[in-house]
Amino acid sequence: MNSSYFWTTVFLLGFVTLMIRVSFFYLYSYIKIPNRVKRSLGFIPVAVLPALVAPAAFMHQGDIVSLGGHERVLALFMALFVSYKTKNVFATIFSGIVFLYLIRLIA
Amino acid sequence: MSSVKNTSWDMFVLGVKRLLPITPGVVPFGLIMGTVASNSGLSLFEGMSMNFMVFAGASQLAALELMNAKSPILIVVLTGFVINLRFIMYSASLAPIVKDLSPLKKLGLAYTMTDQSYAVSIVEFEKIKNTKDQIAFYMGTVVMMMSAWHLSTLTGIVFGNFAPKSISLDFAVPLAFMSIVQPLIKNKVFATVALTSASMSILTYSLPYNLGLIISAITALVVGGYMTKEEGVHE
Repeated sequence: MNSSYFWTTVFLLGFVTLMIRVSFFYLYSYIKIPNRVKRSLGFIPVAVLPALVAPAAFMHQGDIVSLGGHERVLALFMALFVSYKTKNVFATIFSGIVFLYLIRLIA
Repeated sequence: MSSVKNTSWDMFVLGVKRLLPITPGVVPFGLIMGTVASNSGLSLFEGMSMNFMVFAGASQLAALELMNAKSPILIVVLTGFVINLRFIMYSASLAPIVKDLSPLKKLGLAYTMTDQSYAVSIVEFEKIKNTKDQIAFYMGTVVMMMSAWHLSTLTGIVFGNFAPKSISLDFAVPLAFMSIVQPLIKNKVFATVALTSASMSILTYSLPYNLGLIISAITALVVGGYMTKEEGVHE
């Protein structure tokens, strides 16, 4: 990775993130957030993260012919079930990696 | 006797204790962050600098993915901006507690803001009423959170790339994100928002500059906003 590209991006990302965090510490006495906006903000993790997850599984070209190269989709759904049952971050990640490993081993 | 100092210290320790049980959710995330940083060709110094300068895991991972795909800086920063917008909520929520601090102290406290510290603190603030104690408690959660995050990332950078190739460690990133989202899906509205985001990201996958992520997120937010309006859900 190009060094100036890396540092510029990281610096800007850090700065923007800090500005978001400090925003209402400075603006508190001047602005009130409307409830509608507040509600939408609550959706952010659920609106953003699936868009990072889905392509990583569905658009990934795998090498298991019998699954049409979609072994990550299968592993993802298996891990989703583990997450639903356990609500445990570690168990979810671990099981997903192991499922994928086993699928590729067996298929 | 310095009784005030004593309660502040007690509150600080309580903050550390309250954050401790959720560190098992932080450590794998940090390990992945470290592994991805080192697999992206970052040095230990670069990886840890990113960790300290941004200090927001999900946006860091997304940024590294986009940077590996050589996305324009504007897209990387804009994506991180959208992911981190949720901090506005925490900022507004914590603002009354820090209102008497100096601008510099406010900036310092803002820098330490995370999902975990916020979640633990806001629950405990129902019981802790004094502002000074609240800040002491919050600082306890912050110290615990920072230790867990930075140490696990450091471990990931140092040891992460020792895993054999047959184990698809890169798959841990989407798994980590999924493990955050899944417990948040509490009702039909959240499920619809998540499904909108996921399907939009597949439909927009081929758009240039990885614009798909931002478009998907915004579409999902609009759908969520529309549905809560529709159903008249009020807090």
